[in-house]
Amino acid sequence: MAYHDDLLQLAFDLADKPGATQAELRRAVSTAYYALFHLLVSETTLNWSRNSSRTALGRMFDHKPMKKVSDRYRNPKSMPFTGEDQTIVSAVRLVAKSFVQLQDRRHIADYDSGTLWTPWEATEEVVRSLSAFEAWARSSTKTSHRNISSPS
Amino acid sequence: MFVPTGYINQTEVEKAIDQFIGTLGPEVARVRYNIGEDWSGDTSLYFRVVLADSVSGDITTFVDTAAGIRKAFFERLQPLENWGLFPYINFRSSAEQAELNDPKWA
Repeated sequence: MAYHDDLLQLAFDLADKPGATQAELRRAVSTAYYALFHLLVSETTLNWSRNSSRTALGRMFDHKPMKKVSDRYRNPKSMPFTGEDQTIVSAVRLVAKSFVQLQDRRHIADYDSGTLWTPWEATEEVVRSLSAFEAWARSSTKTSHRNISSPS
Repeated sequence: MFVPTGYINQTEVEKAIDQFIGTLGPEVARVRYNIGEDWSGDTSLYFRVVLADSVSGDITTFVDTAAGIRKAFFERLQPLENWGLFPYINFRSSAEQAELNDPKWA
């Protein structure tokens, strides 16, 4: 399994653990975010032709610019995607929206010790990450199919 | 290119939010919110939604209901489009809130 898939599974296991502690619930939320973060990094670096440079390229990704880009992609006013396949647009917007929310929750989980987490709150964040994974897969599949059917 | 609103009229925002909350169904027990800065310093909306017991019997119903309500916030309230504010929407069940007794959610 890829690293991001392992992280997502770990997030589920932590959130779903009977009697999970606050530390485990916080780790579940944080890990759910990092699963999505690493999925996006992995998918992006795959486009880099030199395989040997991909890991180094992956380390250059920064959370804040990724949030800014996600903010823009989420908003139909800033990125209307007129004339594009709206099922792909919808999937990409869901990924962007999920990324921004998960990033904020990850900061609260990691740094705000005054916020208590319930198991269902943590699970909801993990499911959000899973939904983003699924949306990304849908958009990637459709994009690949379109590229194959439209070689020009 | 979208340019975020330079300033927001807080009264106008709150009025629109209150109206929107009034349209939510009985699966929502209550909504609390505030305008604040997120970790990156962007002004944002923070919603705390307590779901009714009727949709809090199991985690699947809870998560599905939360997803539907979140969609309504994005599509009907449109805070990002209208005011340039990203909505952070968080959910708890009534039972969870009763146990935690968190004043921010009361």
